[in-house]
Amino acid sequence: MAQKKILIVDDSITLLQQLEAFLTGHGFAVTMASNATEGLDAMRAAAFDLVFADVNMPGMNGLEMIAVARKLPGYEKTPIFVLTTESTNNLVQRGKEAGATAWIVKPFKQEVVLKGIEHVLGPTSKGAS
Amino acid sequence: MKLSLAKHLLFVEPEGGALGALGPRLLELGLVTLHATTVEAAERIVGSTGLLSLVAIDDTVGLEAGAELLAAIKREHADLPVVWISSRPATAPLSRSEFMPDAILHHPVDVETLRADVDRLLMEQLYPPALVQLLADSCCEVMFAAYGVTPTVKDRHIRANRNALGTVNAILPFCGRHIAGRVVVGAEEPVLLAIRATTLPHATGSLLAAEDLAGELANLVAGRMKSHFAGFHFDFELGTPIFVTGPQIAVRYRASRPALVLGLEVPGGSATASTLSVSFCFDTFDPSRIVPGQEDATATAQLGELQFL
Repeated sequence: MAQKKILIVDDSITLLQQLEAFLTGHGFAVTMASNATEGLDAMRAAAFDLVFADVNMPGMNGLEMIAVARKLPGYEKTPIFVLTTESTNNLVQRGKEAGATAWIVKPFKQEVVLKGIEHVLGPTSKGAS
Repeated sequence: MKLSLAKHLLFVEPEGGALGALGPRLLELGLVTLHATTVEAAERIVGSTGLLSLVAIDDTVGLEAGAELLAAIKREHADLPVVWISSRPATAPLSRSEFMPDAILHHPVDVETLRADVDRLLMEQLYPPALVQLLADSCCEVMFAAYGVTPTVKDRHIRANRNALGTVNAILPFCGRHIAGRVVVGAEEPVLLAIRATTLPHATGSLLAAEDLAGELANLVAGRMKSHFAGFHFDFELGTPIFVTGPQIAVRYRASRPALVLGLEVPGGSATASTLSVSFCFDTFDPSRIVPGQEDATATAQLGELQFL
């Protein structure tokens, strides 16, 4: 079975490394981007099976990035999970309008993230987390 | 209680000894001091300004007159803290009064005790205990959820015009309607790297990594604060962190009120615990709107949970 590809877009290197370690441990190929522009460039250059996006980043924010991403060929239905410290309902609603698939409030729980991934991508390989 | 202007402290004393002893400290807190040498002058000030944060009455202005001033203040402004500075071992006129001061000190005044009492009373007035607890809980919740670290709040105090900085600091601004300010996380580099290592044991530690962790902590704490405050109908945008790194660095700023500083003791791998400071600096804010138990719990998504949209 081909390795699933996941893109993480977040301006925190700590978060990128935490999530990368967790996802590679479960058999995913992970690409990291530290802002929305880099994230969109990565999406234009390759097809990802799932995208994680922060909201508050320098320059374009994560919700704006999702709205742009939804217009990219091949990304109309790609699952995009917002992973953010933001939790207010009005912002969650804005995420939905931008085209986000799911919303996770940081700090993330590994088992919750994994369950969400399996829901959209199917069962994962159970490597070290 | 809307506190958008610098707060005033009134010292009622003929000689100005307590004010003289505390002046530099109060200036550091960004507070304005007023001096009344008589009870009559004090009454005029109390009646003319709504900006008082604390009144200190030295009974050398007159025992009975001072006690009457105390009673008048408490009748009109029940929440306004009053420190009573007594020249006698017993405070007979006060014991017959239905109103008592919030703290009683005796001559000769120990400056450190006076300072500690003033700090405590000011903090309680500017940051009600329930609010302080909410902010402390926010820090502890996210540190445990993100890094499995259970910090202990060892210290809580107010500080103005200057942040309590470590060698590595992240300043995260926030701004909204009726609320604006900054969350500042500061610590020494090894403390931050030790926290980071709890989830990234094999990653290389560096100054950049320590800065990033400070920024992520500021982001997590501000996000949690925003989540709690949303239940009281506050809404604001979070910015991205600014990093200030280096030894002996002070960041000065102007704000309408002293910042609340929490000193968190983070258990380390060694016998010595480590300290991390989290400051909440509010430029605009009405803390009386934060009433625990009356929040709208449906205003936010749950921490750590996934919600399909």
